[in-house]
Amino acid sequence: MRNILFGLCCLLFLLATLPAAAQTETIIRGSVTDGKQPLPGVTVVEKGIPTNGATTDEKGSFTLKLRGTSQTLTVSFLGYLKQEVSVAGKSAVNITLKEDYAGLEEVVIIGFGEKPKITNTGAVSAITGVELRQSPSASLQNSLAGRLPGLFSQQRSGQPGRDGASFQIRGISSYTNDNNPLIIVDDIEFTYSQVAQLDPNEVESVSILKDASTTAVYGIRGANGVLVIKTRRGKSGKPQLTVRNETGIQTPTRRPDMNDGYTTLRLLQEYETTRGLDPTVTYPTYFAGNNLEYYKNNSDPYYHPNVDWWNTLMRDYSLQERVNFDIAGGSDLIKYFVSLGYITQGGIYKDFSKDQGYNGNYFYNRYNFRSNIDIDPTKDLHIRLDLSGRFGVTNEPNDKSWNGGGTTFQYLWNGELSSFGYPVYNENGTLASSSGSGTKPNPVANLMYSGYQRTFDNNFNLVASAKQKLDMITKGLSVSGLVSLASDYNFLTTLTRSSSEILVYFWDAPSNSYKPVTNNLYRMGKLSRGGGFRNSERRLNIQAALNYQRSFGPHNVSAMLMLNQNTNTKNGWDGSSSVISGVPNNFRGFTSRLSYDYRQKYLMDINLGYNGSDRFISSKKYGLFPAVSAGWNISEEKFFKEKVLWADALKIRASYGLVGSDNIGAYKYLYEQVYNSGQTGYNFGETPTAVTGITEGALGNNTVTWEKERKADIGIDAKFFKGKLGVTVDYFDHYRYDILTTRATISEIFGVGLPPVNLGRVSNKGYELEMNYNGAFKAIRYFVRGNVSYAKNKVIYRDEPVQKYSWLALTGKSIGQQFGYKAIGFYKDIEDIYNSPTLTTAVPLKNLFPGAIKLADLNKDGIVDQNDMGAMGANQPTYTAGLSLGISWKGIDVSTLFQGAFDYVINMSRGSIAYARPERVSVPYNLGRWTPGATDVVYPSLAGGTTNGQTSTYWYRSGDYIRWKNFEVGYAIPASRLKRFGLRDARVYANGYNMGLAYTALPVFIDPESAVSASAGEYPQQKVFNLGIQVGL
Amino acid sequence: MFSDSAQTMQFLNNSYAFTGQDLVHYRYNYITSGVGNDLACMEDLTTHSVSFYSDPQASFITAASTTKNHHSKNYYGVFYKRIRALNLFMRKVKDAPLTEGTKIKTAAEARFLRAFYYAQLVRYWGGVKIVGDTLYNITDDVKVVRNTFKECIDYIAEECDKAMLDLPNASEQLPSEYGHITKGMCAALKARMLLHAASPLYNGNPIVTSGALAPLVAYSTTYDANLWKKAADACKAVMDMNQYSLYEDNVTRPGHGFWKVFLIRKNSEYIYPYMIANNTFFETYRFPVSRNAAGGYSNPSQNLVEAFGMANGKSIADPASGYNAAKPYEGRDPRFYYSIIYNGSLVYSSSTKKMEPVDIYKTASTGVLTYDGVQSYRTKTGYYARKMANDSTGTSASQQRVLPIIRYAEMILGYAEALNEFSGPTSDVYNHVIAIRRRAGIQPGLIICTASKPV
Repeated sequence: MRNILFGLCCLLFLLATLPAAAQTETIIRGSVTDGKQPLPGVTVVEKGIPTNGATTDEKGSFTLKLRGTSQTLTVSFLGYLKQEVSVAGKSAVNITLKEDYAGLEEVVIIGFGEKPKITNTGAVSAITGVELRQSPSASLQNSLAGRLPGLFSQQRSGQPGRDGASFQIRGISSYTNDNNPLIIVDDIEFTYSQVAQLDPNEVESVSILKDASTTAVYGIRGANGVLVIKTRRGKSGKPQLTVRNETGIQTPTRRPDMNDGYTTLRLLQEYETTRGLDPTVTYPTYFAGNNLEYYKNNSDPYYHPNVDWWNTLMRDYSLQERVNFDIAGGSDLIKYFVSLGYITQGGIYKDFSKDQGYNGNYFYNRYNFRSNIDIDPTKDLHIRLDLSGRFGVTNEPNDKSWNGGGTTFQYLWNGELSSFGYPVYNENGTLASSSGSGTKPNPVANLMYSGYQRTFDNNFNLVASAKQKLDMITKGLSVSGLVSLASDYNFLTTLTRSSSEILVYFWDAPSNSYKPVTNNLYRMGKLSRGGGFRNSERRLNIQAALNYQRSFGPHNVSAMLMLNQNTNTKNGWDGSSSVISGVPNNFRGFTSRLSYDYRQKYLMDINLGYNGSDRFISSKKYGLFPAVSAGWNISEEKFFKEKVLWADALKIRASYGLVGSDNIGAYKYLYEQVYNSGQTGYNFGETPTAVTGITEGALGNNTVTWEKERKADIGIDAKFFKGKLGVTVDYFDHYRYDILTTRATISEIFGVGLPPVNLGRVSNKGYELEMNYNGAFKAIRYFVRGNVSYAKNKVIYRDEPVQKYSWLALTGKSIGQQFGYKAIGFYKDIEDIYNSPTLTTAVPLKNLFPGAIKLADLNKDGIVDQNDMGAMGANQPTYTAGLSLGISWKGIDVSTLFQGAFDYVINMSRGSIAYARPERVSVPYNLGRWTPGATDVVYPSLAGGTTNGQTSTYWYRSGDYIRWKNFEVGYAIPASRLKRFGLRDARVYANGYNMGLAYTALPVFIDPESAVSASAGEYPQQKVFNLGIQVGL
Repeated sequence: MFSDSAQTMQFLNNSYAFTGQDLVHYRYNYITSGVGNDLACMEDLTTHSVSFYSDPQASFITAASTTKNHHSKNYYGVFYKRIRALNLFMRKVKDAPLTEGTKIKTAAEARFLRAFYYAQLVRYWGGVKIVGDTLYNITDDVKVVRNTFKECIDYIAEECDKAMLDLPNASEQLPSEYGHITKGMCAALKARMLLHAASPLYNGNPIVTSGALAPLVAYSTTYDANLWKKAADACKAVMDMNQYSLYEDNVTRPGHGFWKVFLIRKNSEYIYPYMIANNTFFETYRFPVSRNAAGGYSNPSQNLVEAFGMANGKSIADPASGYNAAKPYEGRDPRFYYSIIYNGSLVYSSSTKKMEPVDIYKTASTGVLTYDGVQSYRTKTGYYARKMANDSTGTSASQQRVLPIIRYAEMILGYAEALNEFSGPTSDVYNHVIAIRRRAGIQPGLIICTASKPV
């Protein structure tokens, strides 16, 4: 694999270095300053010959041999206005560059194109690939949190290859739709899992399109917002090779803190005693005689063990390694960018299966390649050919089905592996386990012998496009066409051993001997192979467009008309045996855009999407999605320029429009009436004869159509103090309607399943504030960037039956609202239990004891029941914020990022082991339990009983957190020292991802971004610390 | 769908499947329970037996069942689904590629089944909305105004009468048609519902005859003796069809007919069978674990055991009955021995291949329970059930059986009851009760008939 890639690179390298023919020689020497001091690193190119260029050195000087006839140099530098300098008849020039305070050179990505930021009227936020690469996370989207205002993300897992965060743009607006934004990578639609596989090294920029004016062109697919990723492309000039190597270590963000066996047993003792039982009788193994002393002193590790399962199973750290190689450059004719990447991540468990001849640990390996080629055969024709691919291998232990139970992680998180159940190894060296079903089996045996499941992802993408200028027809007209094909094929191989065939022994006290847990099993069973096809997807996208761009004096006009056709064929796997063949899903439409501005002062855009999907009946297939937006660059007004000297740019913009979402689930045609065959039948005849039945499926809804969203947005873009301070503010008001909802107020006498109908309405409002400040003090440069996003949704209507009490209703509350009892402290004593309303099933001193969680009787009817379950908070944050800081001095740079999310609830029961039971473990938090007369009580009485187990605000706590998300320290070795090694540049750096929680509202050890469900068996979130070196030739 | 004859018939089959909800112990396969599924029987909600499972009865007793969530909560929706399906069938069958005769006959079957599901609804909920032939569409405004109990019963009775016209007698059916609706089924369902309407619960009962809800739960708010006449006539109509008779055999052993009738797929007594394949369900889910069974999923209670009288026809409470509390299982009504497994009962054992006593006791000296003793997942009461089960083959052989939704005995008893209420204890009344006792193997004994209300 690596050899092939290396060969490919060499070929391209040769191609790119073909010299252009030399002509007459004039040598120009010069220096570039900003008026005060020399500027190093400025690009100086001879106009007309993009390959002939130079870069200024530390003193700001350059030397360039002219080869063409233009006698003009183009001088450009990031953050400065581009300048053309005539050198006719000169041999030396001094050039002074002006800083681009107003950001005139900046461009933004919009749907199917890009635009100067100054004339943009939509709401877009973006980050560059450079910032992205500061995060050493394997999944690309994990690097976006905290950097893009308007992006809400939750990373639920740290599993290698499966750790991609889910994210939404401007929160969520639909309670049935998945709210996933459309993801477009260079004109190819990606899924969440595919975007996680992208190599950050290939990325030029990531933008999110948030409002109607930028998403209307995507029509029925734009309602959830659009994430657009642009990959890097070659620039004219000498080939530039870059090699990067990073080596990192991963450790869990939060390491569960467990009590030792003795402490847990003391709690169990208390639990039994409180319930009026004698622990020496109920659990003689632990409490009879002086058994407890053995646990206390840890003096009998084989028969009274004390095992710390987390540390027994987990490594201190696991490794991560990333290698990138890219080469970019080109000539007038051809430009190229070629990148190769490899990443490997190790798993969290110790390598128990090492001696078994296979790797049963978690791991992830991925190869990426990309070749982006631009060809300009004539000055009017531009051809683009992009090839890219990703080949990933994700490995997981087959630790799932032991005794029909969960994975090792589920047992760990649920606290089902007690430290005192059995040792890891018996005294005779065999693997220990338990004979009863109450205590979970030995995970070491499982990780050692049960095999693995390995998923292979193969993605291959191709984009070919051509753009022909048609200036001969009319100036500024061009036509373009594009074909893209994305193919994704996944399969699985497994090597597994049945859990009942793994040889483990338990200590059988009556016979005074070790016995195999599986009766009569005296040797390990054999491993068997399995697996096969999982799913495949093929997407074909065809675009044809007419573009027009021209200035008529002060009037600037641009227009686009595009025909777009998308065919998506998905084959899935039903989860057990057979393949679900997907019917191609077609999407087709026209998209057009008309932009006008007057002297870049008064701006106006009209975006139109007219498109449809074959998910709907023919008369309902197509829809029109218009959006209008306008902007006013106040800073371009004469009075402003004269009077307001401290502001460089000020723009007010607003947009309003309609977008849709056709996501109604896979394999669905809701307008069809279906009948289900093979249903429950009967048995007629004197001789029994079975017959099957057919039933009428849910009614077809032939008026079914897409969800729609009206998006309104008002924003301000401003720059102050010579461009040092930039501010962007957006306020949005989104109104989602026609949400597909199954009516809930229809009586069951209707007699047949109801189809979802377009009736739900949700309002989602919020704002984003983004500020950045770039400053300098002598040679020190620094920046501060902060952003806050707020998005609050409210269900306006969802055909909910009228609830008896207002607090029971979903309508009027946010999507993802959690309902439960309100915890109002703990029952003080037995009188308190008798005198307070409680659950109808509660029997004092049988299943309810003093110290249990006291639940509020919201409707004051004297009992606590379903009618008292009120809203506890939503499971989606409404606020998210990021703050990044950076400083650089000479070659040294330091930067860091903090990210936070606020105003949501999470169930903390997993982190606090809800019940003390013999097979359970306890955590330090449990020690703050209620006992008679205790102060500083944080946890209910262990024996508390039935109210403890209810969903209540005791368990659902605020998930607010601030995370130290990222940091990077780098040192660029001065070019002067690199010259003798023939290197262009070199940089060493250290960076980290998920460095720690600066603040968490949770009192227990789980990560606040964790999955809500305790049974999820989540892989702990990982922190990555990384050392890297980057060398350029 | 309805342009295919086989598929059209399959559509109807599905509506037959849910008619046995009162009887099939694996009823959750058809309609799931709102509070925990069970493999028990409906009796478990009474004092007659105790289920293997804590639910549904635990939640019923502890009041954890709510109006929102209880064991029969899902029945409502499923029964209305069947009613719609049958309406759809009746509308579509007219244009299906079937013979005219089949169209008429199957439409009548559907009409009866629809009435049957209304009968089920009425038994659970009193007066319910009669949707008639309406097929709701998603744009319809579905208004639920409950019809009165009387309207529902009358509707069911009329529909039975209508359906009967187009249906064959049981004796006219081909062997392969057994299980399809007959004239007898229509007449019997009508009789059953009219008897319900006449009974004290729905007929002038002060508990249910006051307030706005009264018409929904009472047929007549004042006592109407004529309802008994209607019920008696309806029962008599079934009897006069001369299609059915009690299955009697006191030659093999006393009351053998009562034991045997449940083990014959087609017999003279079943008017309306619920059709299932041959199986060992009762033997598997009722018999003791030692009999290669799954254990007592539903165990008879002491209350039920005491409800059985003696072979002489007297109640055990009667001092003259000869009942001996020290030997409680001696001299009882033969049906007792065909219904209850008590300590020492003989039940087929697949290991010895013969009838062996079942041991349900604790050895006094060691305190050790026998294998089938009183414990969870075996028996909670000290008894196991064997009614309708074949205790002479146990789980070793698949048993032919269908389940009786309505059998002839119900018609005879109903007739006797209604006639007694209307015209007092005539000899006609006595003769029918005696006939049932004779079939059970009981001596006629002393029968005292009293009316629920003074005549």
